[in-house]
Amino acid sequence: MTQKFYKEPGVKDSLQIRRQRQGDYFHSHPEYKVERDNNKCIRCLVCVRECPYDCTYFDTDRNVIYNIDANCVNCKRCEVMCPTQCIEIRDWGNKFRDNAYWDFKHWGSIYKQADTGAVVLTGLGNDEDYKSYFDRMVLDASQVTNPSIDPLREPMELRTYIGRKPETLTSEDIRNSKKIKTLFPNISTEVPVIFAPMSFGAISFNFQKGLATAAKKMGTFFNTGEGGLHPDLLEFKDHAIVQVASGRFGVSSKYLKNSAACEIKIGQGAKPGIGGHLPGEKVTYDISQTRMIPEGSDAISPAPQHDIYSIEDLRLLIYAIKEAVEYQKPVSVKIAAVHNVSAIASGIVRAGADIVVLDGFRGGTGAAPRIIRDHVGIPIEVALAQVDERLRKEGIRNQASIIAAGGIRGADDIVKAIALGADAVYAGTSAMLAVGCTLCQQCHRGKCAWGITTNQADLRKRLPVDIAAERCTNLLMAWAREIKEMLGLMGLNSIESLRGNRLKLRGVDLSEIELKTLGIAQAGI
Amino acid sequence: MRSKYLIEIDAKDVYYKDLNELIRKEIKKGVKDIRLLNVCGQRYIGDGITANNVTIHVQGVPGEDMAAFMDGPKLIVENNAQDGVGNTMNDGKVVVHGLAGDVLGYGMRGGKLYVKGDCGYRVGIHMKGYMDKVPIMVIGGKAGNFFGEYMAGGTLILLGMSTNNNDRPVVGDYCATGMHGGIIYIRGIVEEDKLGKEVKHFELDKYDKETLKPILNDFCKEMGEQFDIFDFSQYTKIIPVSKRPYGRMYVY
Amino acid sequence: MKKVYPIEERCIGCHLCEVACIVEHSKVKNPVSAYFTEGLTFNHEVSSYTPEPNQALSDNRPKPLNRCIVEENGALCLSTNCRHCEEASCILACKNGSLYKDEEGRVLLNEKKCVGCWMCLMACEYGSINRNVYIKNVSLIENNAIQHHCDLCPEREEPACVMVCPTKALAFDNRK
Repeated sequence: MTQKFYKEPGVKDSLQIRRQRQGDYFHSHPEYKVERDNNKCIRCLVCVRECPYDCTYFDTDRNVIYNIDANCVNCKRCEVMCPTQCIEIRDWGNKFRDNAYWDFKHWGSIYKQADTGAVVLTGLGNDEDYKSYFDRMVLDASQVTNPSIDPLREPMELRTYIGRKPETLTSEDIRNSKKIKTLFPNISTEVPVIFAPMSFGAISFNFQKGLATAAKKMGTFFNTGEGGLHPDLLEFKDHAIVQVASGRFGVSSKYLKNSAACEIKIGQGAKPGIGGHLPGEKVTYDISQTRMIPEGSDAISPAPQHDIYSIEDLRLLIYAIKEAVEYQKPVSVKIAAVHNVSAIASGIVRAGADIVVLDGFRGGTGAAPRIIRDHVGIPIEVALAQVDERLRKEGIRNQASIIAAGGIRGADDIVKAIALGADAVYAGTSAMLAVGCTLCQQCHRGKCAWGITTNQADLRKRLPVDIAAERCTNLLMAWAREIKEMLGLMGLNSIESLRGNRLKLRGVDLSEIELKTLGIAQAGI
Repeated sequence: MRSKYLIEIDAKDVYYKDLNELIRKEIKKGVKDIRLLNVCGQRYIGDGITANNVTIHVQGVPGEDMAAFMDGPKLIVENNAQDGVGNTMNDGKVVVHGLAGDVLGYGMRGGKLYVKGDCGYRVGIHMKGYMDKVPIMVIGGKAGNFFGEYMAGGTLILLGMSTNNNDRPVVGDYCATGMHGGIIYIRGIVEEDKLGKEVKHFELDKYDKETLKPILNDFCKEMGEQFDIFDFSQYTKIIPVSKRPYGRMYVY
Repeated sequence: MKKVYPIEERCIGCHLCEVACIVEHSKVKNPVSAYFTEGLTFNHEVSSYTPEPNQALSDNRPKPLNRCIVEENGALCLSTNCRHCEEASCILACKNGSLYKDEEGRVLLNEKKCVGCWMCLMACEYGSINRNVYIKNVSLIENNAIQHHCDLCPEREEPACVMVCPTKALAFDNRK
């Protein structure tokens, strides 16, 4: 709001579309076109004020609002806020001659790279047209011989305990439930959905607090990401999973103790094998407090944790954390889904992790090089199926819970993931969508028009805490209802009975090897 | 003299989990001085302990990740230490009267870590200062590769004196790669090709000498020996030339 | 009495409350028609585009104006409007008694009586009263008089600005 949004750019600037400038694009090809119906525009300038990307201007002399289309990212903020709905954002369309091979992503990147010599960054998750296995699996339903259950009438159990389970229970234990020693700390969630790790810095404080509030209300958890726990969120500590990543931002023994569980981040589905980097200009006072680094300094967390070069080293860190929390909290290890993930997961479980988080390649990110986001990693469905199978075969499935992350879009995906072997899922992008995200993939620019992935003082006000909390709570509530319906139709009354129950899944339009990898049968059999 | 503030624990054949539990219990009781006898590779001594004015003497060789996440106590090791000492340490003091292994003071945010002898690879990685917290690490001997990598704050001092590797250079390759904050002082000459391209080396100025003096005095005091390390002309200072080593790498 | 209270930390400065206010106080109550037939104009300083007041008057089309104004200073912003003070200095300042309090405590304006001296505007501590710069000749005016301040939308249950605010930065509350 400090920007002089209403001022028309000078003649020079207004010609920038056709001008070649250092750091500017050689060919400035707009991706989108902002069409404004002048018969409906009332010049209220709401759109001008709302656009954070310097795309919309008001020409005071001609009394028209116009756009520099090259700046438009299709975040749809103006479209939604316009009181007369006179704005429509369209695909520019007229790019190059039709070419199925040289798509815009590639030639557009080349222009940018040729201009700057830099890596093309992007946000959100993989948007390429890879096969989605979730969409090729269908669920079973009860008919006649095994009646379905009406969730409105009968109780449905969605509570999930996450963490290491004991090897055996003796018959004495079972007779007297008070005698059962769990031996291992577990966290219990009322909905098998946990909010995915998103650090304060990548997302706004308001959104994180909203997630925390929703998690507390729904009896589940939110994850701090690697950015530390803000002092104001201490009241939600029993619903916080705190992350320890290579940069160790905000990590101290207090931080580890102020949590429900601790998570060691090895990799992220959107960018397996590379690290994170919060540029210095985004490290404001608040963020510096949370991350415990000076204001304005870069927050670099490189790919490997330099004290972890092997499973043995990982065990060291896992137990260092367990010692620090006096064995009171489960320790989770989050890895990206990559080739041979089952062997890696097996090693992680043997290293002492109580929870293994698998992050598929559709997982989101605050910022990642586009090529890595789009081309590295494997789908969560296959990774999950393989890991679950491997751990079962090795007889160590009880030693750790599996959390599936990366592109969970709804209750259908949750049910399918749990049937494939997950204990619970992480939902990140869905939570962002719940608070208004329009998937414009500009998270890395820190100027989110919806106040989600920004900490700019004026923009982050756009998402008030209570609205975020309410919407995220509603989302979980709706999902819980849908999951209950799905369980009911399968004749199950507890989410536990679904876990790893691949008999409830059938594949459609999948090859034999794909069915085998997923461990499911062809539909009809 | 025995008092309720002082306790001796014989760590012989005690599992690390039990030993650490015992230490935590004693500290909760109010014991201020703990002597661990016959320590032989028990890991995580002092891990996550939040307490002030507590001293833990370790006789024997402690295991890995000693003083990880530690917040306050003072740890004195009369022998060598292993890898991962002071991992993500928040506050406190660790004095090692011998050698130490790899990855010392990873992500260390505060406190002091003194090692008399040599140390291994990846020492002082990700050290960061924050507000009034300035982590200080002094290594008496020589260091391996990746010394002070990604360093973001604090003070890292390498003296290169009490060493077992006389033929080795004072610091290994890739020193201070990716460093974007803090200061490294090395007593000796560091070749340009060993340094990361984000940093430059300088001679010490008046301010440096004033900061170094009390730290070195404290180091000598803790080690109980007066070392000949106060000739500041021997030192090289390494600081980052850019706060943004990776600033121009990305385009939107 | 229920009043409109702004909440600074929630206001995002979108100015939609202004749009809602102005539309609510237009004749047609539709933003597009109000703009094109009644010459709806915002008194934000942005608009240097000002049609001739005489033109508006000769057409007998006094322009609706927004009665709440969003004040901005960097990231700080909030929508200000009439506080409907218990001891309203504007009423005291009004020299011919065209400003009065109704039974509920609202400060209202008898538009027919108002002569446009703008003393109320000088007296208001909150700067909530605005001039309608497009109107100079009183006799021609029936609605949308010279002096503008929030009337709490008498035709609605909840004022238009409160209803439209996307972040609920305006509260319609009964506070002491």
